[in-house]
Amino acid sequence: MVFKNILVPYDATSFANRAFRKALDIAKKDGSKITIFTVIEGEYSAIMGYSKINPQVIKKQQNVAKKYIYKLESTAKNSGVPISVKIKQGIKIVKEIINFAKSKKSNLIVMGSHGRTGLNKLILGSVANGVAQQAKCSVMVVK
Amino acid sequence: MTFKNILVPYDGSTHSNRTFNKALEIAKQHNSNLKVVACLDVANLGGWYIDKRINKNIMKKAKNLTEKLFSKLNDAAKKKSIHVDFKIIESNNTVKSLISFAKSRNIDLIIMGSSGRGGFDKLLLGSVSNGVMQKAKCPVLIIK
Repeated sequence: MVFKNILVPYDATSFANRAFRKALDIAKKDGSKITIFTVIEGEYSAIMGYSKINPQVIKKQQNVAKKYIYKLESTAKNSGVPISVKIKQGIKIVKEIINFAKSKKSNLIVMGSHGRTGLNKLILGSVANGVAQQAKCSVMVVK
Repeated sequence: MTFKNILVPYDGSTHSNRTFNKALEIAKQHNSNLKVVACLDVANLGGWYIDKRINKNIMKKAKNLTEKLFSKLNDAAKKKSIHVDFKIIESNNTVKSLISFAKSRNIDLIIMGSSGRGGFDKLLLGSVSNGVMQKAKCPVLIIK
């Protein structure tokens, strides 16, 4: 077994979907566990910043995230890969992902090269870059 | 089969040795072809007044050294009965030549160490790993 615990940071983009599929392939061959992790930022307002985040908005976002992740869960179960899900609220996405990987003792982080923010598709996205640089475990960037 | 051709850039550092071992395990699981590439830097040593034949001598020695390292790797691979192709590239831009090599050989996955010979800061990503990760068209796996 090369990688025991695989962490997939997920944000419902096409890149994240591709990363999830690659993670499934690896997990099937390896017999490893997959953990899906989503960070919910809340709504940024120019006046208040992140300081006062509307709990209703968070709840709505969580529901949407759960819908997307439910699909992933069913596909993983069909192929017989054990999967767990964690949705967390935080502002610094990179830090949250790295701390979560540490606490779960993940051996591998599989993530898409780009996410929701940023327009330059030529180079790496900011979250992928940050995670690749700061993570203590191996990182796979799927293009 | 998801990863048919795997590229492992190698530079003789401890990081890249670890990477090679991981790559062997992955190649065994996925039944894939391994390609190990070493990039030799064709740096211009000193100014115009230095004899160019000195450069040639140094390159020859560097090639001999890498071939020795490769033969060690080959022994390790043969123990696990995995076929590995070796190649030495001479260039003055490591990242560029690795990317173009990956493109020309239809590489599905690049496995590389987080930092190699160049950088001193082991906390962040090395310059070559960073460049390959940003510019490659295929998935990149970085082993820490």
